Amino acid sequence: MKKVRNRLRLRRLSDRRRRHMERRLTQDTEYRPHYSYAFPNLDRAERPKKRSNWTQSAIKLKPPDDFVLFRNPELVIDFFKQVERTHANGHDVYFNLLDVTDLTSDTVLLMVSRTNDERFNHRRNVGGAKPNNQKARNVFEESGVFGDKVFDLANIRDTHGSIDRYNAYQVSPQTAAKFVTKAANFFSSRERSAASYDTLIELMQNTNMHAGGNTDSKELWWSSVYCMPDKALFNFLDNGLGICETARKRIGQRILSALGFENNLELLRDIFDDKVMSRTGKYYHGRGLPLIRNRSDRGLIQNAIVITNNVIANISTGEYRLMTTEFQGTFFHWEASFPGRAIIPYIERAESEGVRSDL
Amino acid sequence: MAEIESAKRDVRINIARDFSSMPGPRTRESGMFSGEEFYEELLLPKFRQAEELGVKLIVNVDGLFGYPSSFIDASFGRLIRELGRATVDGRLIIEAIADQFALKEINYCLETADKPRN
Repeated sequence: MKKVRNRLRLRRLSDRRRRHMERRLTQDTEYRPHYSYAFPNLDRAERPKKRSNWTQSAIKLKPPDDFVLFRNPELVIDFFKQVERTHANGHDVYFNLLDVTDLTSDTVLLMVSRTNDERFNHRRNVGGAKPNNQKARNVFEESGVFGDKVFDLANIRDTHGSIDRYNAYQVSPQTAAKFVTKAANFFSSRERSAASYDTLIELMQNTNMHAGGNTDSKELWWSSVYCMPDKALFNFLDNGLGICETARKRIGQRILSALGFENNLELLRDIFDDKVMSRTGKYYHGRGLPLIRNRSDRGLIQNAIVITNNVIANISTGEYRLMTTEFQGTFFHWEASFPGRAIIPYIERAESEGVRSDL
Repeated sequence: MAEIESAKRDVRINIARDFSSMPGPRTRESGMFSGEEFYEELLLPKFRQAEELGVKLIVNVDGLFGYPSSFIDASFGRLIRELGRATVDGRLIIEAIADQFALKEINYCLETADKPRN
């Protein structure tokens, strides 16, 4: 009897192992056991040991109550700058989020990306107390930031519920397909779902090709989709050079000044208006961002907002504004709130290709 | 009658079935299902085959998740740039039955594929 039980257990174990390996094979990223985004260049043994009582000596920082990046950019960016400065001075940081009344997936994405980037965390610990507000707390928990009272941002888990998040260096069509499939209820037509898919691919492509500047190193992109009861929020960000800085490096500061681009506002506007050529110098490159504006003008994506360097622009309304602070990298946000499920006949095919397997 | 016979012999590609329903980036280096991969593995060989047979190449674009400009440009745009618009026009037909809107997206990229910007 014992033997049979062991044999069954063995079969169950080997099934589990097979499924695990299959999942790994269908993913487009390299399998890296014990990989840490916080310390990508260090082996497991070399990583700083986490002290159990680090929160007691950590510097406590309080973010703005309206902790929404695309609505309250200056205060949120300044808060993260303060976090980075504290890390640079050799301190751990404890986020006091108790009084936060509004929190959306975009800020959580920024929080997770920055605290898992060695250039920002300076190998220090980050964590904190979760918000008291139930809605904000739900966003936090569904983002995979776990822990009952104290969370640890360097050890996040997979998202669940209404949020999906992914990060990679390469363009991932599977992720884009997975995100639009998740938000299918808010597109009402395939043209709109395709517009969001295309936007995701273009942004991943831009990060992959340009965000690292002229160096060979690639920048990591982070993206998430958050399905609220009435709309889906798409967020995309990287911690690279930013759109304006990339253009300035390509064209040259002197030429830009001669052309009248004294500030980034006009430069960004012209990039979205398809008046500035890509960094690669090829005339057929660099159409991704103008096409995003084109899709926004056609109403296929809504409330499209970009924050990069010292500019915030609402592509949908055409409002561009210089910020009082500098954002390192590029952040994109857009929404889809078209009532009705998009008839996506390819969902069936996607399922057979394994796209929805882990939704 | 001759036209029907010719149509029967046309070379066909269905991107969703023969390649992937998830079109990706511009180059292979950037990620999976790239325009470069589609061009080299499928589009160019099939175009050559159509040329040899003296028939049309019909590419069906229905059932794709989207139509990213970098994918379209690295495949169809590259075909126009490398073989010349005169060679491609008339031989390459892009077909969309269910997803009519796709033609608008693709045509926009193809119209500007070999025209430098001001």
